Amino acid sequence: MKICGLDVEKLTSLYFDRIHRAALLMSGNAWDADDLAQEVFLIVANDPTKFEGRSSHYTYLYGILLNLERRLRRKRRMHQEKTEKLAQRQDGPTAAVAADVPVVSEEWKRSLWSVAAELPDGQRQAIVLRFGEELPYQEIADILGCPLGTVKSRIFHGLGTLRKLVAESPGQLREIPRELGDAQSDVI
Amino acid sequence: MSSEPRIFDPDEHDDVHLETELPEAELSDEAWETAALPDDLLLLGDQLRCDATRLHESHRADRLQHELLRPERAQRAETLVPARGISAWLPLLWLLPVVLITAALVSNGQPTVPRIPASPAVAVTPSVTPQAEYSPQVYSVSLPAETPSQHGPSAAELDALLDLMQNETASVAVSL
Repeated sequence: MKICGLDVEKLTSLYFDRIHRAALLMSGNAWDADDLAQEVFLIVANDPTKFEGRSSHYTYLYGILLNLERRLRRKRRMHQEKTEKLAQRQDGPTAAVAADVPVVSEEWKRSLWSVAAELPDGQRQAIVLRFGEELPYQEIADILGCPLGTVKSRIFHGLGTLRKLVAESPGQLREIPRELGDAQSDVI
Repeated sequence: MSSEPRIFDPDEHDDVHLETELPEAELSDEAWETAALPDDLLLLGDQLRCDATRLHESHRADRLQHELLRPERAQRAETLVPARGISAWLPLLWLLPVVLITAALVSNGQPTVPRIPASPAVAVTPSVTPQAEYSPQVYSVSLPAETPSQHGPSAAELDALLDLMQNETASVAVSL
């Protein structure tokens, strides 16, 4: 089974670590990262004809990963909302709600990535690909399927929102300087 | 390069279109970041990079540790849980009938084990001699002779009493 001259096994050995790394930054725990990365390659293996070869292999893989992660996040959020509503209706303890919160690693919780997880999808994805994966802006634009300027805008606004969130977060992440306040650049 | 002024079209100035016309498009990514992002946002970006590296290193170390411990865990599991499924010895069971038949054939043709000849019948008279004569030691103990003591009525008194009972039917109180 080949995908543009590269069989799935080779593709997996070349890009699995990369995809797993991005999944880890977004999900915050190794179990979700494992599941997401494996699902990416399963999707590719199940239907290799979908890849048309217009982009690089990893651009295609990142695209699948981002979609899967967004779907997982949405599913979790909906589930959590339902559980919260149920808990409110029954006037019961909030233990059931707490049990649904995914377990994340302590190290991730202490890192800026846990704050970045609260950003809107577009900004979060652009920031992961730029600062987590060190991809060039043009490749990020290809993966996200948007113009280069949009990527830059998302990065800029994403970092700005992140700064606000850090300022509001409890003590542990406050070492980042905030002397410039909310000053915005005039680039965008 | 044409110097013709552009006609302003409000529909053209949506967000996406504006972003694509940014003059920084020719700059390299790093140069754009340095020019466009304020210092604190640049620092945030660097912090994100550092955190990402740290997370990856930590995860890699965890995985390496897991990989290193895997053979030990597997070995421990093998010793604790008996192996299921087809054992390596199972195929050898097919050889068992062959081995038995061969053994039977060999034992019929050539007895490999020499038989023990039957011993002739011999009358056996057991001669039992006592190892040592038994000579018990008897101790004779002489006790002092018991002095007769007078208990109860004498023979003469009994005879008189018998006579009295025969002669008289009245009850007699006998004081001994």
